[in-house]
Amino acid sequence: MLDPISAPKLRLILLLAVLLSVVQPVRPTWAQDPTPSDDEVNRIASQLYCPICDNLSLDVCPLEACQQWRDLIREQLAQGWTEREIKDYFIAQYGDQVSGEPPRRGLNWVLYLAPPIIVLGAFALLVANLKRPARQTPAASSEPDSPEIEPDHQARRKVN
Amino acid sequence: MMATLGYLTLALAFLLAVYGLLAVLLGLIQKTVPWIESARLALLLIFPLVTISIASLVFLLVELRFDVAYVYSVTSLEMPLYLRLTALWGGQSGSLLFWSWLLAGFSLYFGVHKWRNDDADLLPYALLVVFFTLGFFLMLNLFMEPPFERFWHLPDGSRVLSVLKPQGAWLLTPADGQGLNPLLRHPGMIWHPPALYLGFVGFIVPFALAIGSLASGRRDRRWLELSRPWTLIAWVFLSLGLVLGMRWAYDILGWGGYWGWDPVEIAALLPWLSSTALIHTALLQERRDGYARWNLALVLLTFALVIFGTFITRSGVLSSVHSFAGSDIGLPMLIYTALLSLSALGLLVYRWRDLRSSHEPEFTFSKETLTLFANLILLSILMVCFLGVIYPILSELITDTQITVGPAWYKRITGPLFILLVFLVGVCPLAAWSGTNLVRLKKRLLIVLPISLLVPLVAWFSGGVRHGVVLAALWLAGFSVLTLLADYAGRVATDWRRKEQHPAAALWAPIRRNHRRYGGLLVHLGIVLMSIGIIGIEGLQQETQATLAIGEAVDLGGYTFRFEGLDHREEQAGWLVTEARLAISSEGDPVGTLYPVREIYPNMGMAVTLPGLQSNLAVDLYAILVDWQPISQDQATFRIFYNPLVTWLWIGAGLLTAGVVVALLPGSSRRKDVQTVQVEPLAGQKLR
Repeated sequence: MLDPISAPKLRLILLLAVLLSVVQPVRPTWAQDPTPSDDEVNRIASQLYCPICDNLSLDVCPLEACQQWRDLIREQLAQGWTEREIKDYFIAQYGDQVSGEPPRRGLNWVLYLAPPIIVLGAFALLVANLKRPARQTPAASSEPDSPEIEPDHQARRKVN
Repeated sequence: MMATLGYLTLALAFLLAVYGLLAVLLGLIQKTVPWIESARLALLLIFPLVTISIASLVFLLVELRFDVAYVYSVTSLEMPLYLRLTALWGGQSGSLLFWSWLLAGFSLYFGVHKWRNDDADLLPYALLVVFFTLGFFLMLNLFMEPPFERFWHLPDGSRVLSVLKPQGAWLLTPADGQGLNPLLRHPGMIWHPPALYLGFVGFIVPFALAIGSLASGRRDRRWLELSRPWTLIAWVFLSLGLVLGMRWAYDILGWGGYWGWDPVEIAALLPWLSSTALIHTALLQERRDGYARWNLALVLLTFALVIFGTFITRSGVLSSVHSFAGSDIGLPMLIYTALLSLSALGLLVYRWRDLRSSHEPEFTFSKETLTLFANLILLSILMVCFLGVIYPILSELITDTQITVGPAWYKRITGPLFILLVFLVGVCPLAAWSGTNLVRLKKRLLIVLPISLLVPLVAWFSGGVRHGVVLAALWLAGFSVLTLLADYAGRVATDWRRKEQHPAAALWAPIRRNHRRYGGLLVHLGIVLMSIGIIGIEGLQQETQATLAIGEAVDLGGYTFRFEGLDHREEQAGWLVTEARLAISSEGDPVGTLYPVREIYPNMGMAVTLPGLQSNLAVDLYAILVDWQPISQDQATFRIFYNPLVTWLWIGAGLLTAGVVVALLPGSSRRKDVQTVQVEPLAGQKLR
């Protein structure tokens, strides 16, 4: 026969249980739903790509195989899998190409690091090439309405 | 007979292109005009020859001559006349011939233009580019993708494909063709590919003129003046091609969207981005003695991207819903693309020092600085999109890993840049070309800013929008619309006060006086309205999927969609059409009915989804029939979308087109010296 739990011990266990319930990763309530809705399935399927067709996400792919993959997602959701777990499963089964966003590892970092470098680099290059005005431009000039075209100073000059 | 005629005229056109190329080279080496003149005359003959060739193919398509392999592969007995005509660009070899025909058409410019004496030095190099490009595409059509090959029975019982009749063979004519891919059996097929091709091919004129200018060692902007209408024409067709493609995708691909960030879509967007940048900095070069390098680089980049896009679409190097079936033209196209791009780049680098300018733009609140920032954003988007297109190829080459770069990646990176562009469009009318009038700016801002704030307020209270980024984007778009309208209204008011004109006359006067400026304003207004449509569908789209029994309903976006029943019918050639009825109501009041359709083509093993759609300026209600119970027929699955504001995307595209037409009107704001001057005949002149 087991010893009865003492009051302090019980308080400690309850406290730990409360703490654990807060600390442990929260799973969305739908993950426990025995019959996940089409919208829940599509939300994940739209982030995965059909491994056998051309650039079609799984939620809109009309193939029978894709229907089966959507059913698989539904089953996995019903079993309580998280979105991350489902995506990882598909990537492990069919390769990185099923993920709409390439995983952040190895050479793929180029995709995530290059764009900010391009934008900031272009911005810095432009600003560096713009001349600072010597003094404040007079505020009196008005906006021209017709495209007055300055004389073409270099008109028709040959280089050679 | 017609197939032989089409083939022979195509072969003749190719020979003339080769002759033209050699004649221009001889003319340049010997520095005499007669060879150049002879090449120019050869060019004049190519277009009619390719026209006869394409007319032959059209005849064969219309007549359903299934003994011709191309006709067999893209047409079938049940196809109506308009689809037989559009089948011309429904397959690889036909669309290549269409491309070559358009190219020959645009190239006519170099043959018929009355060249001024001081422009004559542009012509030989421009002709060189044109003949090289024409020769290449005609060569592809002639040797690698011939559209006139026929089926033949040989005496030994075997079958061959050949244009000309083999010894002792007889024609094999199948009873019916394979027919056009069902996805291409849509009115969008009439307009989308031709508009896109016109946009692509049209850039041959500015590109050849730029090469002419660079190769002849000129450093003026004459090439820009000559190419301006062609750049605008190509740009507007490219814009229309993109928008018509969006509409087609929206109407037929059945995912509730208009842009799937497919590699081929992006490949068409790339030259649009670079040519948009070019149109803006070309304006700067007209006003300032600078930007020669920049504009030349942009036009070379644009044409290189056109060829790159063609390569991506036709080589099968990338998987895409747009790709043509596997073909052997990938390698020659790659060689041509590399040769053209590297030669153009080499020429630009060679002339780089000669093209330097003393003009240094200032960092002030001016149209010039804002245009440069807009250029920067356009080119940043271009580079990011280019990276997204080529990265899967690089990944496979380097790490042997197949990668998909999907919409989420593109949207996250380009979204903020597009919003910044919309903001710049709104800010630009507030600035002057140099030295902005701060008093007037303050006055205009005091009017525009408070009114623009009404846009997010209306979206919040009336539309129930709670998404911060969407509210901010809508505010920026509203601000831009107002500054553009205020710019025009300010000019109308001034005219009215000063000249005491009739209000209607004052409305038209600024446009008549300066159609380029107000045409441009209309284009910008169109772009901002398009952005409102994009903000709506990207930021506020709602969707749901539900399986409904007859009489059951589902709610979305404040509307109720009730399933009323399914109709089945069998159409020509055994297609099975299933049409559902979804009654829409809002707070109990009937609003309309959606009729989503699913067409099944048993002989092709394909199904096409046509959404049921009801549009107004505020929202599109859009439903797709996903599946149904074939036995009981009393239950069906629908995917329903609530797409706010998307109609503004199509309205904006209409305004954009109208704006370019206004900007191209002949009128007072054109420079006198840009207009054609009486020209001396070319023949007999010595090249400088």
